Amino acid sequence: LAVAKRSADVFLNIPFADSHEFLYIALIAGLVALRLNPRCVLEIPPQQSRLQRLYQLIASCPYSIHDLSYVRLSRTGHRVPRFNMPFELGIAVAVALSKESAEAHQFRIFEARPYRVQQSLSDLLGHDAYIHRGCADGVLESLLDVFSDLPEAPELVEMRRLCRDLRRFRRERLGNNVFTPRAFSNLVVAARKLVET
Amino acid sequence: MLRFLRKDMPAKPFRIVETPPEPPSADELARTHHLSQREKATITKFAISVRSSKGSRKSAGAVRFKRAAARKK
Repeated sequence: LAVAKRSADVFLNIPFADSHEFLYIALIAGLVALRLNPRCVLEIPPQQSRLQRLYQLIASCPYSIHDLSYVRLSRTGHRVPRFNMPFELGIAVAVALSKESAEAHQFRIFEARPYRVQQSLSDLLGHDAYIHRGCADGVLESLLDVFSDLPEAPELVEMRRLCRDLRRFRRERLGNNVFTPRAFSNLVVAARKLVET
Repeated sequence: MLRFLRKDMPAKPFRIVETPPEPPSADELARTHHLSQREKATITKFAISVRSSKGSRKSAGAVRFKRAAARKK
């Protein structure tokens, strides 16, 4: 595996659920602290060519992180699992397999509990997940692990501080729903500004 | 570093062949994300307030020392 393009972009495939807001904020803060640039499907406006643009966005990022901890049966309506995350992971796998060269896309999987992926998605045998234990600290530790080859990585304590400040920004300056294009943009820019200031 | 300490960490890290370039600055990001001037100003104000609060924040020990000194007077 190697870097796809000389870019700092990391595609985030995460659940847009209130219960997973900690994951969303921690990933944005952690990646910005690592001097990387978080990208997300929220940046794509809803329209007909959405799938194509999603493919292009994933393909333009050298790395992608896929959290599968929210893959579970819904409690209301049809009792079906949410497939968005595994679907986007499938696109990333296709992108990664389409180029077996130094420019290949690299993907990694995050989970809250060990051995769950092996049960829910046995096709991914050999691609073990990073376990974040369902907490922000676990997410930051997993990010340090997954980017352990990155030179000049920050200390965990610095990442925690940025994460705490970003949570405060979210609490004080953003509305109820943070899973909107506007909120995502604000969080990414605020995290970067906090690093620069 | 942590991956050597954790037993449940068999997953491979990303292989970094080439160091990624410097990510876009906050101003560049604000442009590409089409943030309004108002949003930019809010973010800047927040970042400055966080920095200044950290600069002026005293440790619990320093606060106790100052209070004790004030009581002696």
